[in-house]
Amino acid sequence: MPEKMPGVCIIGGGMCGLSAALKLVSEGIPVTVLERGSPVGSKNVSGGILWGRDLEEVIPRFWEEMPFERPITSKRISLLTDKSGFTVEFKNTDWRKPPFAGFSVLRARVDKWLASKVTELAQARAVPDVNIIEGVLVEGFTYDAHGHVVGILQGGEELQFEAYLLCDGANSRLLDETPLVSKEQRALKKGSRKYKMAQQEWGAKVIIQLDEKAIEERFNLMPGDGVANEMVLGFLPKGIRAGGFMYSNKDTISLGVMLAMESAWRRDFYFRDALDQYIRHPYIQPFVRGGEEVEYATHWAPIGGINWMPELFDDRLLVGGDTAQMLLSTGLNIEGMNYAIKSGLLAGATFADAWRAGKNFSAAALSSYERRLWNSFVLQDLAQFRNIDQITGNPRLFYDYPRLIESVFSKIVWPTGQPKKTFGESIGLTILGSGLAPQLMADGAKAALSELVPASIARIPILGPMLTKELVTRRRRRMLRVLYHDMKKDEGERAMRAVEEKADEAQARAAPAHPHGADAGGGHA
Amino acid sequence: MSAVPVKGQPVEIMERVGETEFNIDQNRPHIVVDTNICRRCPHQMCQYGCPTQCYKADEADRQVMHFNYEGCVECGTCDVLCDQGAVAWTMPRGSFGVKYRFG
Repeated sequence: MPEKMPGVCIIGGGMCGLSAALKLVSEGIPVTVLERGSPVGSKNVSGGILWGRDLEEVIPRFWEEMPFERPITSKRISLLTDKSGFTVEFKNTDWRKPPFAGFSVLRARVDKWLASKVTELAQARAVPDVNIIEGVLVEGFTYDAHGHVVGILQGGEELQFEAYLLCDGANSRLLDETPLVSKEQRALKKGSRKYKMAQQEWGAKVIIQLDEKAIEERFNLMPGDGVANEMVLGFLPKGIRAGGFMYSNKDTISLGVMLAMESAWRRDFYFRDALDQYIRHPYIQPFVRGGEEVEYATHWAPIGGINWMPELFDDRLLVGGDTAQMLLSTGLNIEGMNYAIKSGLLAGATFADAWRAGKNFSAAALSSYERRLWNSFVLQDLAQFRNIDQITGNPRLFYDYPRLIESVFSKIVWPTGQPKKTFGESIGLTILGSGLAPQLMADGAKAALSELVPASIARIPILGPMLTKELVTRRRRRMLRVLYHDMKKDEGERAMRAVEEKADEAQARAAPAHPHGADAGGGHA
Repeated sequence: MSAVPVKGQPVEIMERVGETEFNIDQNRPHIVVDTNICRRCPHQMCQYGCPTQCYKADEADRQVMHFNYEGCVECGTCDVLCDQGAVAWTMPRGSFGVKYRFG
């Protein structure tokens, strides 16, 4: 017999889930957060910058309590090649005080604090049945006759809450069994490696401990200030698309890489070597040398954006944060936590309205979640930047262009002992000499269009979301067809190989006294 | 804790994994790999993608794959990279598995 539980159930105690819990508690609604890590936060990894002030909606002046590392006052973008690094820095010293732009954070600390705020708020407002349960894995959903979620399975027992928010992270094991994902996608998930690779980037990072003063000196910071530095990793083998980040924490540095898995599908490159080469790179060494590595962590970054976003609502079910591909990765920005927080807050508000309207958690009642997301930056941003993969997915950006910039600046700066060339000549001749001029122009035009067109469509009042959704659906259908075709091809090849192997085996059995019998025998054993 | 590697001195990956805390579930491996299937695998991408070297091809016979779930950080990469159906991937039971102190 399923056990009836009060209120809303949140699956996953991360940024999205805990923000939703805060919102629900502030509306006086019972909520249970189920988190598989113990304590909350011990499974959660992010690069490390929390941009924005969205938490203010539930915790006014949250920065006065939040255990953040440093407010970000500098944003640096770097292009690295084997030996060189080209960096642009934007520094705004105003960002060191409220209203802040962003903070470097360590999730194990921040998420634990957020969870404590949920409990605190529940006590202050005397909201009953608010629980954050740590160390509990939700094993699956149970469904009604029409395939909609009614309950969850935990420890072999079924629990039924009023409604569910699914936010169990980028590597969600539950999403793919819900009706939020189409049957076609479910089939691809099982058989196609490319399906998930199109949605997730592979990330790994190390935490490096260093003296607080040393960090400030090395990063050129006033006491307390912080840097977010994102990089293009042009020193990896050609074709591999990878970015790096280096964030200053209080007395640690978060140093990590993000790798497009599809681009690293080759049998001579260990993904983890990207991080190792990065940490030993001559541009990075001055920042980290002499430090102690204190933790190694990995995480996926859902870069599928709106193109791979699941349906956002169903009967009794909403999805948010990384699980719903709510992450913006443009090359210049990489933001996920603020999208998770905002989606959590909006999910909370949606549940609260449904609760007040007679606990009606039907899909129709919950559909306002999507409308709210469209009226916020979450879906607007993801719609505007939906074709950004045409820029960030360009392998030239990760290999040829960093080298081009290296040679332009080497020509401008390096004293040859000869009369100098004008800048126009240096730049023009280098580009012409590289033979990349046509691609550069084509890529530039493509980059401009891939921003301009989706953004202008998304911004059309009322029609924008509808048009965008239609275009996204069409694109996804095209992508699914290609993936399906590839999957069938792979399956065919596998079947062929199995047949060939069987034939080989039969042959080997038929002719045991073959001169190379020793080899064949080895294969059998 | 281990010192940051310097130029020309790659870090031994297991040393890096050793920096991270685990609460290993001795009774139940959360990932089960059918290594018989691995014998016929044309790519063995799992060992290239795994961040913590849970997958390791045998040094004598490259077609023999060794798997150990104990250093697994639950990223899910092997499940994606394995298109041969050898990897049965589940989450560790509640509170088991990797335990980040920083995150």
